[in-house]
Amino acid sequence: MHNLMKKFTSAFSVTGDESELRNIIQDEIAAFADNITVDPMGNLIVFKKGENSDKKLMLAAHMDEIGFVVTYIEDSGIIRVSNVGGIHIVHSSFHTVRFKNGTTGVLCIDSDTKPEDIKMGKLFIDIGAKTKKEAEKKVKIGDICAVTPVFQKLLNNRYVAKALDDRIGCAILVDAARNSKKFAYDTYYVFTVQEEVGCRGSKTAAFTIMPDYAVALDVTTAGDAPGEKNLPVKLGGGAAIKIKDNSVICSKVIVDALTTLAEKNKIEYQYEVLLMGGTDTSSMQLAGAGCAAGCISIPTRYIHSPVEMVDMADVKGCSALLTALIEDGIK
Amino acid sequence: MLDRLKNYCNCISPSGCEDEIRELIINDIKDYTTSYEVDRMGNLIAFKKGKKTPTKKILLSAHMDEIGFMMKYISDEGYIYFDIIGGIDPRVIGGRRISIGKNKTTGIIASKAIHLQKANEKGICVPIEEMYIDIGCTDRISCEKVISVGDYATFQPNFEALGDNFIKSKALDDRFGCALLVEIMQKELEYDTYFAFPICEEVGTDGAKEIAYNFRPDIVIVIEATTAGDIVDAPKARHACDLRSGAVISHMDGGTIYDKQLVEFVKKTAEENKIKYQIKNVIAGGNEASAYQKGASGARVIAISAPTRYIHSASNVVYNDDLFEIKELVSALLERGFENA
Amino acid sequence: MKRKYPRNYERNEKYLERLYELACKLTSIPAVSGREDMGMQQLAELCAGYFDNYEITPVGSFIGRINCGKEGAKTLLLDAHFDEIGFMVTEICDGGFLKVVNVGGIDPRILSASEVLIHGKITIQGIFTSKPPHLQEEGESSKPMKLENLAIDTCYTKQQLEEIVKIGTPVSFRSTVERLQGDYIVGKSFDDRICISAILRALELLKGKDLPVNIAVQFSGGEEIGYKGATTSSYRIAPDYAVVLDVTNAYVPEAPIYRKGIKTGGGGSISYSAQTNRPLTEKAVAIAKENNIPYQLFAEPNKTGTNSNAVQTSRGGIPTVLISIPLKNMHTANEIVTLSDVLEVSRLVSEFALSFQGGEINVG
Repeated sequence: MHNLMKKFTSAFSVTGDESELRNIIQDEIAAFADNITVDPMGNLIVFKKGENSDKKLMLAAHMDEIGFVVTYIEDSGIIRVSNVGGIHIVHSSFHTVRFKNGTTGVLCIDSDTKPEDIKMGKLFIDIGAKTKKEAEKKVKIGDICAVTPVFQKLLNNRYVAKALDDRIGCAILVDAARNSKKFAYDTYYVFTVQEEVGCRGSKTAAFTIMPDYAVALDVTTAGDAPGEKNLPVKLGGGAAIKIKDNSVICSKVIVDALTTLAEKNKIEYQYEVLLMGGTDTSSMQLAGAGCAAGCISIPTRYIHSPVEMVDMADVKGCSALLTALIEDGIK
Repeated sequence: MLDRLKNYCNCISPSGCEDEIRELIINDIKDYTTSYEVDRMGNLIAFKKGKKTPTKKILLSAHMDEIGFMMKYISDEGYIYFDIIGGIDPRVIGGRRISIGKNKTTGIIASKAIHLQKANEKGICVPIEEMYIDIGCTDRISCEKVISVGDYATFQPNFEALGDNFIKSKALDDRFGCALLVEIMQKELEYDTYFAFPICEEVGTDGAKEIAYNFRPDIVIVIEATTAGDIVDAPKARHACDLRSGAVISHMDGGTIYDKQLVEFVKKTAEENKIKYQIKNVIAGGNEASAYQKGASGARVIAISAPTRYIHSASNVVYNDDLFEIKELVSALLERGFENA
Repeated sequence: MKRKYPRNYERNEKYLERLYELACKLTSIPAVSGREDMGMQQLAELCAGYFDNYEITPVGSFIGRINCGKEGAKTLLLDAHFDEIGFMVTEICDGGFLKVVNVGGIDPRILSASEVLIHGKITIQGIFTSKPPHLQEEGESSKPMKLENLAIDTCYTKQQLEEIVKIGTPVSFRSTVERLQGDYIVGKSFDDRICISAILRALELLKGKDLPVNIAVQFSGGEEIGYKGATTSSYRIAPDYAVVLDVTNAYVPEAPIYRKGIKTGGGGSISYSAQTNRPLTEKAVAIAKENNIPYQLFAEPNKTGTNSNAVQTSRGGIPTVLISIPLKNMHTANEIVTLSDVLEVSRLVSEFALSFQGGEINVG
């Protein structure tokens, strides 16, 4: 599992250009699939036939990560940017960044900015260029960059990496695809695009598939980091079964089924209520005539920073829970 | 193209009330299309057969609706309280003339004379719900003879040439797109193409969503008007785009991340045909491309826009030659086709 | 208040009593957004008899259908939402207190000392806390209230509570319907159960009549959290035309001037909006006039805050009309309507359904 995590979080895959990670995932999962397609938006749809072809189970994890887009290059060679997805400026600042073509630089804030005045217009990237012309040889308006990969193991089997949101979900989907010994329903492993800008990719994928049951795999804020309030989920507290976030109230059918499977298989679990944020769950729940939808969440600290943190026990628990769902289905 | 543009801009057709512009467009295209239909929501979609049938379904889109106003309540004194249709900055409407309904009744959005304002009122914009329209009636009964709750209105038509080769008018967003699509339909096409004129883009791209579901295009080119911030005192990095710099190609805006391959394809086509273009450099705004991209099973989308100053106000301004660059670009793209895009 | 159009029937006590009965029954069914399953059985028991068949959708909607028996007949959809605002438990605290998060839009200012029902393994009562003055900080009473500073007191111990309740347990307001002066009534969840009452009464008026169209009714879930039920059940039904019924804020002295056009007692309000279909709306107004049904007009061009947009943009588009019942104190446990408006709306809906006689309406 940690190999998958490292491989996936090292890939360049910012919202709107997920092709690099898509190709990597396709290679990892191809051996376990009956059919693979890529839809017009770029979603990777991996199909595995099940025992009961009357029902479709859609599983979704998003491939994209937040990043920055070049909007303007100053005469001095300094590059101005705007955000792609929900960037927390302070979380990303003064970190190295990397463009798709390999150009690297640093993301900084105008040095005369007071803390209360920090906003996107004060951000810039310095790639070391001395002039606009020199910079333009490497980057152009519309190019996208992300923070450079980070991957570290800490105490208690806790891992820190960038873009665990939602590479960890992608890794769990691939892990479950490998470990599942049987398939209760026709199963679609969907690696979605453009989730960070409003769950866009999952809408078209869900429309194409029209699932009966749908489960997303995404991160959720662990409420036990310093300064977090009113969030029941704890790092190390087990696989989180989502009850509600800002975009969806999960279907009781799914919440109960996941609870039953967790108890039956002795997987540690906890319930999640998130006061903000949205996931692909909502897109799947509302596709066509609608379906029962829910989410298995991975408790994560410091989301949308370069140093997102998960507990391997939680990750393995999520994978085991997902495998149980794929094998046994909804009772 | 410009005469047609004038007629289109002078229509009174805000979101949800597109009858006038739709009739005008149908009149202009009916002799040049293979077929056209008006769906039950009011969207107009035309199909023109070309020399070849492409492997991917191509759709061009320009929305018919414009921003406007709706009459909400008539007071005992004969004044009309109203609401805005679409997004309009309340600061651009005080004191403006508007045209109401099928009869194009003239009304003024009342603005308190400066002599009557208190010190703490000066310079502050009144909220929309406190503004009202004066059509010259002095009581409710006489006003109700002319106006009903639910009547719609837009800024008064004012299409004119301005300065050295510029145009000013209301509703260049997106009657420019409509006029361009109609121009293109007048000529023979290389490939079969759909032309869509959706309703209700200004209130949430609803029309486009319906068209996407019914027609399932593969490639969509949205022709729009986009905000240009190249006015005095604006820093270059925040212009978004400039007048006189050609067709605007967007790579991303508030609602859509455009298909990267299509963006490159369009840029290359422009370069090969020596067409002036620019890349939008502020991530803001949105158009019906988002509805086409996310609609049904998805589509690949691109937007080509006219840089427009003072968008969503009574007087938009565009540069004539920019409009012709866009026409050249779209014609070149349709000629080339999207088989290799 | 002076009516625009005279009624052509006598004030009918029987009809008003029937509406009161429906309002009482419907508002007593608990169904917080996202957990409509908790009340679905009761709703089905109450309504099933009105329809040829019914189904419950995965996103919490009840769909009932009436077949007119005519070949090639169109389908008219009637929509009112079944879900109500409420809360969800997020934490079980020492001392038998519960922390909650709101489901749907709720003004925290009305909560202190409010009574609620907590729908766990069994249903128990609770009261929202209210801070006594001596516990308040300096200037606290003039600051905006926040839900995170309130809790629900159940008067059980934490251990007892943990047997009954868990994270995600829904909580609803506790309130009963009461008569006020004239035909006015007060209660909770008139948004939108009062519109369900109007639809059921409209179906009662249509019983035995020769219907020109099939009727599909959806009592949708998830409206208060983003029109979820209507989005999916409209897709499922794929009707030709639709009427959405919801409540609207009636004029009260503090409201903006344009709200004077919507008063309780003035009949249902018919909306002009980009989220409704203009030709179909004109038709609804014409029907009201022909049948001497009092009505009011409301211009809300951009957003109606109702299921109308979700229904109208379903699939390739469904022409939709929005009719609203004027209501005061929306989203509190003491909403106020007058039964005479509910009566007028149920008459308008039934006449609208009958008006398709002799062919389809030309829209678009």
